[in-house]
Amino acid sequence: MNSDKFDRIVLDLLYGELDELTTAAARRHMDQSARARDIFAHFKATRQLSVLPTHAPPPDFEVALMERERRALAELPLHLRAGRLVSMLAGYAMRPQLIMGALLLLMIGSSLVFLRARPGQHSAVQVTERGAPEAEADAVLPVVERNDAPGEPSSGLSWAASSDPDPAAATGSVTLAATAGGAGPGLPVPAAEGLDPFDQALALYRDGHYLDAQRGFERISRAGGRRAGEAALYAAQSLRSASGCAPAVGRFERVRLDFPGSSWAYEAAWRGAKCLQQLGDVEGARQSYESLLQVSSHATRARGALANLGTAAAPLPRATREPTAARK
Amino acid sequence: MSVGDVSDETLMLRYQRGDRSAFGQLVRRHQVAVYNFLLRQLGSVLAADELAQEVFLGVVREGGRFNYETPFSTRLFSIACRLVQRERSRSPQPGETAALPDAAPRGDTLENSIERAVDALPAAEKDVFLLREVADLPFAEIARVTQRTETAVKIQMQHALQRLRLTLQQFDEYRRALR
Repeated sequence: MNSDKFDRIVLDLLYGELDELTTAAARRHMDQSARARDIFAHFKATRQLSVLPTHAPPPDFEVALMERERRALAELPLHLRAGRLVSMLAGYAMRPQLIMGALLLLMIGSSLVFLRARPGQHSAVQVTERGAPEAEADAVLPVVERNDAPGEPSSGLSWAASSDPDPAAATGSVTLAATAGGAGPGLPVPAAEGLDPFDQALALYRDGHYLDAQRGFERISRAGGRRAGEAALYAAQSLRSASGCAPAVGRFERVRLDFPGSSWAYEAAWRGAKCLQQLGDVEGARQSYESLLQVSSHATRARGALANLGTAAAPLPRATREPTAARK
Repeated sequence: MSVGDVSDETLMLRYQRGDRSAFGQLVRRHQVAVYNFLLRQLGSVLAADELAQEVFLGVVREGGRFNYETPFSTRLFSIACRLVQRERSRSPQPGETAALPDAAPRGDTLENSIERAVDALPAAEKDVFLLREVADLPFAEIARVTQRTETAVKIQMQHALQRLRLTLQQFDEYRRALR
């Protein structure tokens, strides 16, 4: 350190504002320079003796000031008061306790929102879907009604469609019951004791046990008798519900041929036509619908179906029409 | 953490958030320095009392614009210096041009001589000297308060000390202090 630099830092040295290294260098310089020692000594002595006496403010200084401060706050312009309010609110928002509390509430809230049972924590539920999808399934309801009223072609059973465009077709002696799918594939219900074989098979059908129902109806149909036609139609319908339209078309056609002129034959023709339409065989479906135009119970529906055929889009490939037999 | 450990800036922040007791704490902490600075500058107890309150009220009014990068004491004495300048402009001080007495009156005490010598300092040197000795501000902060360079502030401080030395060196206390 030289004299010029010492002169520049002597006040910092006097008031202790130098770092340790520079202070040590300045002291070393003073050890070697009488001039530096003299300058520093005079400054130090002057400072020591230049202490001014301290006067206390008036006793009521703070009280009076706080009162003026209160009045000044009340007279602050609106924008300054708004700024002060924002500052106060921001101060509360910045408090760690509030931040932690807000985070805790956020976590609890989000936990409630996203609280869902994990699949692994519950017993597996097996869902089996049988037959054709709901949209493709014909909602015709084979309903049994003991009605041997005269004029009916056989035992008084009649067929109606819940989606029938002409509700009048579903009136009369027809009674609607649960849909074929409506009963749903529930738990197996043992055939009720005391029921005749047809009713037992019908119960199985309504419970969604289509294969068992099909076997029961086929036995009745093969045995012949007054309910043979009805059973044959149910067997075809059971097959359609269990395996889809492709294997059922032939069965419906067989019913139509085996029981010509019966309501079962007409219904089988109707259902076979629907299956053909679903399978993309538009021409075959058209022929079947046209064959029903002369049948009073099916004429309205057949006309509607033919009209729909005219506006239907091009048939889809057969592969897409095949229903999934069973899905999990 | 005790109240005394809380920084001025933290207290100011609390005050901005509505804690008036923090302002009271700031007043208690700085009132003596501000009052004595103004008393030395103005030479009047009443004026010092009035202006000291004005200084703190200036903090209240500027509270929303308080810059936390500037130490609170720097802000406080900036307001004080502004008010002193205002008072000086109203009534020019004799110290502006007055020369230092080259000798203390006979029988005068060292304390009285120092007070008179400080009063007689040129305004710029007096500002720096009082900010350093009464307000205890570092030179860097004095430079910010007086809006001069730090070097200029140190030069003025050296001049002030040299003027005071002329007064002091006639006293035995000074000669003893040199030993």
